[in-house]
Amino acid sequence: MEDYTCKSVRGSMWDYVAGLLDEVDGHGVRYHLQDCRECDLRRVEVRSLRTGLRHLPEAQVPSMLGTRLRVIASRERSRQVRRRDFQTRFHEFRRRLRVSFDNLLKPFAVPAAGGVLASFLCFGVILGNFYVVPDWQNDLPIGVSTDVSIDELSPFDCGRKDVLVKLSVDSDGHVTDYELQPDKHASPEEMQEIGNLVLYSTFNPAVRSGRRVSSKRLFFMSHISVRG
Amino acid sequence: MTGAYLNLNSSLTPEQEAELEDFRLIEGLRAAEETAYETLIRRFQGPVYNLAWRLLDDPSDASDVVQEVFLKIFRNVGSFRGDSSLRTWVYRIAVNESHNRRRWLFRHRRGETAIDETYEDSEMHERPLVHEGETPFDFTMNREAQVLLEEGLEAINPVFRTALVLREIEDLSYEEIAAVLEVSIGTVKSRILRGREALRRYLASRLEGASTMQLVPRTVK
Repeated sequence: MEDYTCKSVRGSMWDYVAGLLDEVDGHGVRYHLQDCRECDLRRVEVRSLRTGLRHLPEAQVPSMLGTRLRVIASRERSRQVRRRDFQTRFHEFRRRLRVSFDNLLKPFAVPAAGGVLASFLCFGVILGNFYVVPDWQNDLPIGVSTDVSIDELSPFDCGRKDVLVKLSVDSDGHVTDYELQPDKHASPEEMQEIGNLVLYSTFNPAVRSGRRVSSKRLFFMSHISVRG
Repeated sequence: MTGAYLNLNSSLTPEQEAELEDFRLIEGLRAAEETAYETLIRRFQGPVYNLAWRLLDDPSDASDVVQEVFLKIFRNVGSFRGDSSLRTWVYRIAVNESHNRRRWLFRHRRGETAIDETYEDSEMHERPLVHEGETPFDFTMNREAQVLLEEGLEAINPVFRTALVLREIEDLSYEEIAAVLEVSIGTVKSRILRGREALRRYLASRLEGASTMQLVPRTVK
């Protein structure tokens, strides 16, 4: 300091009280303080303030904080050890990968296993009910198409006349209707005889695409007398 | 740095011994030695906690900051170059974390009011200054002076308070404070000066009428 005015002395008062000024400045300040009561009072204030700050009580570290710091230290030390060399890093990577994989699959494993078992159980129980026994005895080839044919002729006679009859035969082989040709006329007795002949005969129904169907067909019935 | 410590038989100054101690501690941390972690915690948990507490005025925030500080130390000790002392480095992290915390608190707790803002909370964690020859009167006076100083520190600008706390309470040199705050020594001196003046004015306003401030603990030398 060039000159020891009140302003300069007060500016360096803290350093003076702390004993940080060099010998020359210390002597100059001390000399000024002997003459200046105001600055000396400021010195007392500064010394009081400085001592008060230095004697402020220290806050005690909470015990929980110490524990937490040690937990952090342990975790960080473990992390550091794991990253020490390539082999350790690789093993650590594999371990973490396995853990991640397990964690990823665990939420799905139980529901998936339960679903598979439940499906096995359900289908095992009800699958028998879905089985249909095929009727191979009455099975017909799909490609077969036939017309109505006579299975067995009735023993009744048709009145010794040749007759052309149009028969309607249902899928069971029963005659549902019959009619003569429009240009042919027959008496009621003759119609009765034709009816008996037709109704008491059995027919094989027509087959279309492997299925028995109703159909119509003309039959020519002729009377044949055999002598002998 | 290592070369200076190879000759272990030579006599070392206290500063060199402190540096050697820091060097061993850092090497121990880099080698993941358990004792090094324990030593670091024992050595710095108190100062860092006190510093954070002085800068934040809240024990729970200070605890959070201390955890963050130690986490950063553990993680970044490998990149510590030794340009500054270990204490300076730790304090720098603590100050930065405290400032970050204060900024976060300013943004997120603006308008909040604590349920209990009395001094009793901090008293629970505080180690009272007890002296064997202290009378109840002295204890009360000291206690009042401490409360007054604490209030004064809380009242001044955080920038000045940081510099003041580092200088007057943590007893760091100007150079160390400059390294901690990453500013020039002139700036450090300016901040300290303004902090002292602000504190003095605050106390003068509180002790209006007294001829001079007497904050010295009376029985503690």
